[in-house]
Amino acid sequence: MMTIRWFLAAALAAAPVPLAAQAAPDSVEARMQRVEDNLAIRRILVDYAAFLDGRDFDAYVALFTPDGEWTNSAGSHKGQAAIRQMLEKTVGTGSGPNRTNYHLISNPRIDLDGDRATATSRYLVVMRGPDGSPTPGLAGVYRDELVRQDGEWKIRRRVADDIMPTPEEWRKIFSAQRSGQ
Amino acid sequence: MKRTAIALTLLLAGALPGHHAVIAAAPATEASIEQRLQRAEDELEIRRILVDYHWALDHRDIDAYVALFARNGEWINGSIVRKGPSEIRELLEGLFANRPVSGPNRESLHLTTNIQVDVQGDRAEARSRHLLIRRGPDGRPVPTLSGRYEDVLIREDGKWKILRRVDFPVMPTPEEWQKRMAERSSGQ
Repeated sequence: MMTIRWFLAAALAAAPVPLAAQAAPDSVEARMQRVEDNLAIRRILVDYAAFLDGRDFDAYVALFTPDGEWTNSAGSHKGQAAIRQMLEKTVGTGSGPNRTNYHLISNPRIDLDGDRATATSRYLVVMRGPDGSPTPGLAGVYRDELVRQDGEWKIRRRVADDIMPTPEEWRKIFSAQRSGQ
Repeated sequence: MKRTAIALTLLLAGALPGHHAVIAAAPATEASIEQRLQRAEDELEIRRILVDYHWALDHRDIDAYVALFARNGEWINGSIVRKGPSEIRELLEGLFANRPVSGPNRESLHLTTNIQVDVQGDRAEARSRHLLIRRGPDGRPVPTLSGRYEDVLIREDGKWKILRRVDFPVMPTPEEWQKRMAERSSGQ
């Protein structure tokens, strides 16, 4: 009888502990942190396009962790130096804003998990058409893994999935344009 | 002396943290930090729903799409009204009838933009724009259909759900769109 009463008392005393531990993620501070994290990551998704279109390669590379990775169907580039090389190869050396194309970023979906997050977003690359009119040239989805490092969110891995045109169609369009001009 | 004691007791009772009478007495314009935080969370959750809508649609994920609606959820476009999960499911099954439902869809995607959200407690109104992009003949993305949504959302079992979504096509008009779809199906 004594033992049962002791167990009961111990169980009651122990009960508030796990409850308190569960409540922590719902504290005002924790909830506010998640709102701030969501907004900070939204900003990164848009900054990416601003730095890419503005040819600000330092700022672009700084969005990634030192071991960050950028991947598309053509290959993968790991580390900030490799990412910068890939940029210089595909869009040339950075020299101020370009007026030949720009990226519209939309449809952000962000899932937070403490100091890690995953995100998807969509991009539509608008290109200068033959008469200068803006012409949709490429549409796809970014799939990102992000981490908080030294209190700042960084991209650890970005996969650019070009949906239309496919890389093969893209090569055809551009070789036709080059031979036609 | 007795009166002072009563007044003191009332004062102490009123000063207790979390006393509902005190919170209710605060002017409606002065929301607490918790209420303001809740509103920010609600806005982010609703923005996510509007984007998830097109994610589910473009991935032809009928279950995920239907789950975004409230139990009495409605989808409306002109004279077309679909109410409740089973009618909404039928709508999508009809839409995907001639296309493979499984596997990623790489023929079209929707851009969701210009989101406006107004939250009033457990009810909210949202407006947004949609632009459907389809694969053109050479593979290039071609804007195909554009319009706006006007939504009413409610908090149901603690989660925001679409109670009513009204789709207002802007370009092309419904008549132009039907003509184009008829041409496409007869041409193929």
